[in-house]
Amino acid sequence: MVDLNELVDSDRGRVDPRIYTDPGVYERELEFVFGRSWLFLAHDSQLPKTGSFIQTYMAEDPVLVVRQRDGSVKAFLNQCRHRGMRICRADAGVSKTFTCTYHGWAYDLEGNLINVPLEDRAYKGNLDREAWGALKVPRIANYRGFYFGTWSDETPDFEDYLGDMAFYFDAVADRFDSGLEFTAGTTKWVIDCNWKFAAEQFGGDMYHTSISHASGPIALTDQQVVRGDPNLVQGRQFGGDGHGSGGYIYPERNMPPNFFRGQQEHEFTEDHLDEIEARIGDTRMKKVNNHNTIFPNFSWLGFLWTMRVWHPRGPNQIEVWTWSFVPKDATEALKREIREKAQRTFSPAGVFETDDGENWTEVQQVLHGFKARQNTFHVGMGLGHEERNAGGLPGVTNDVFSEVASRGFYRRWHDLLVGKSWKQIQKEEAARVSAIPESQPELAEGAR
Amino acid sequence: MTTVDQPTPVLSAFRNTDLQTQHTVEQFLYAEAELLDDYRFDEWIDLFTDDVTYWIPNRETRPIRERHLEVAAQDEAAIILDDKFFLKGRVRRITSGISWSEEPPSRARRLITNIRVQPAAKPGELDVRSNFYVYRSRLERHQDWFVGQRFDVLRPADPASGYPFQIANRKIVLEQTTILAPSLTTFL
Amino acid sequence: MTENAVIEPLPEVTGRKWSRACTTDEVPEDEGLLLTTLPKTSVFAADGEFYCVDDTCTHETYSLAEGWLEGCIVECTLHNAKFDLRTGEALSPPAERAIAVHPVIVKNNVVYVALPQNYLVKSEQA
Repeated sequence: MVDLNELVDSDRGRVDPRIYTDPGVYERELEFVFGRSWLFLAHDSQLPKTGSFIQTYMAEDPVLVVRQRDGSVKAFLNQCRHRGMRICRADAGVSKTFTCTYHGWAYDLEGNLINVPLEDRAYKGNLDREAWGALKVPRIANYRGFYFGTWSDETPDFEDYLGDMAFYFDAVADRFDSGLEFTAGTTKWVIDCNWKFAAEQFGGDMYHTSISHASGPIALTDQQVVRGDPNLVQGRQFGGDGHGSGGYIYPERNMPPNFFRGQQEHEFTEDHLDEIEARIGDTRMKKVNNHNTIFPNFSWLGFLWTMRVWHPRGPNQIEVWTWSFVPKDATEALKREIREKAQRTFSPAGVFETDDGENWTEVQQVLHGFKARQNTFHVGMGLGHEERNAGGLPGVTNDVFSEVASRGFYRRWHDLLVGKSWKQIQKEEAARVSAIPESQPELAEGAR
Repeated sequence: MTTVDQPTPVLSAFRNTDLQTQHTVEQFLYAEAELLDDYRFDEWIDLFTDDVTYWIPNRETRPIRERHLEVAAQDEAAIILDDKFFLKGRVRRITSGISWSEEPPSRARRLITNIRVQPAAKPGELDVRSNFYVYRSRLERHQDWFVGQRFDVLRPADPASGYPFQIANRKIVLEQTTILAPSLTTFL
Repeated sequence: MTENAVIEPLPEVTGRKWSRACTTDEVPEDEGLLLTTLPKTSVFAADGEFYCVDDTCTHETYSLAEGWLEGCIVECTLHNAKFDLRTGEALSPPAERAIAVHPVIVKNNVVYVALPQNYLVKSEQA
């Protein structure tokens, strides 16, 4: 039996690999981790009109997210209350009602049960339709057009849940006057790995990039790839409340332009510098635009314009659901350039993303071994070198090559898993953060 | 001489292609598959014209009323939408020796079938549809299947190239909406 | 709806009374306009013509005005029963019984419908 209390030691930077494989742990994380966290549902732009819907998942639970007649967005479990079939079996579309095609129980856009075939004859007045509507997602937060939902009453309000991560999320969500929109369509694929490898890496792992993705830039330029000395490159990583954000200083300016930034994007960014700076400030504009995870499983890469959810499918598999996003007021030419860049780099055929799938599949495969599962993993990079509010970045940060976000991710995951109350979790987090020395070392700005 | 008869004015899926054209197109597509199966990527890339678009659109399950939206348009999500420059880039990457999803290399075998030929909009070019069943085996026991249809435009090539055609356009429609593979690094 | 608010005389239809239903631009493109009658009726604009039918699907009680309109065929959104707006015929299960179809005349962008005498017409001006 797995002793839940022994699985994660974030103070020392150690995790027990059985967190990635154990079916009992997985069942428990569905209830205690996913069931008590805010999960990404949809972006405003995916639901353009009344009746627009997408079918997504909250962990393994299918959920319909629907634009209502009053313009609001609601979500409910995509499960008929009669025998449990999915009420809607399309991925997306526009609908007026949702009808289970098993016996015909029909639901309105909010998930209320509005029709039961042969009701008078079959149920003889004994069916309380109001009580048998679809299970509604009780709490939905709209944060700058990003809809998140949670099943739990206990979970703090979304902004409180974000904590210092709001600063980093806003670097993308609040970047442009016109806002963002998602490219239509969700690209989905399956990787045989535990969801935490993906979520953790996007929150707290810049370390792998120059090795894992060594070949990525080769696909994007026919010139010699000059990456610069990784010992000199500047950047920070934030970790707090289970979330993570990190990257190099000003990636969109300091990466060789021909492989990470096309001409349209270059012109747009230079034209919008004042706008971006006015909205998010100089520090954020330069220091925050790269890898991010909002706990537990919503991630994005700022300057690569890709967002995704890592849906768990048992302990050994995930579905990756990804979208590219663009500034709403971008020209069609720029939208195309951004979309193609995001697809080319991060998609099932992405010249970077494919390397990640290879790694995670491999790790998961090795963990079939008994000894392999007893072999503690090292998540101790940069341990003890955390700083608070360093260089204008709020919360706890560390070097870009550190695992401060990963440790925070596993700590939050473990706290939820063992059943700590949200109150206690937040109290402990606040105490831990305030114990970290506050410092304002001026970060070198790098070559810009 | 290419003749592709369309004997009846009705909308028919039947294409009465002359034997020589059908034969040449088939042998060309088989040769293309052979180059890929045998890791001859640098020769393969030369089969594409400089103005080629190589496109794998996204696909979703849609209600019957919205079936026309099932396969994504070019301004929507795609798995790949490359021009020649970036298609070449993928070849450069895969042959770099440090492209870890293809190093050590996967083994792949391409079955190209149901080849249907008709004249394209531009004189001399051919619209060619083919079905494919591509099997990929990787490392010890990993395996993937990619099944779908290709919509190619073939343009007559300089005979000195050794090939009768170049591929001037390729659209690949996969049957899976959720790709059941950790990576799509196998050229289709 | 207004009953008998007809300025020009409309041809008499035995057992029916003409009522002003709506203006042509009040009828949505992709669904029907529910009229204030009992039983419920609705007006559709389809293929350049206007149609008036009994609004309630004959399979389960649901409004066809909220249905999906394709050409002259309306599909109930609940269980996909289809009806021909021209004849009222039920074209697709689970419905088996036709819906009633009522005569329509359009004059000066106003849609008039001839409903049976026993249909109640609620006047919005009242």
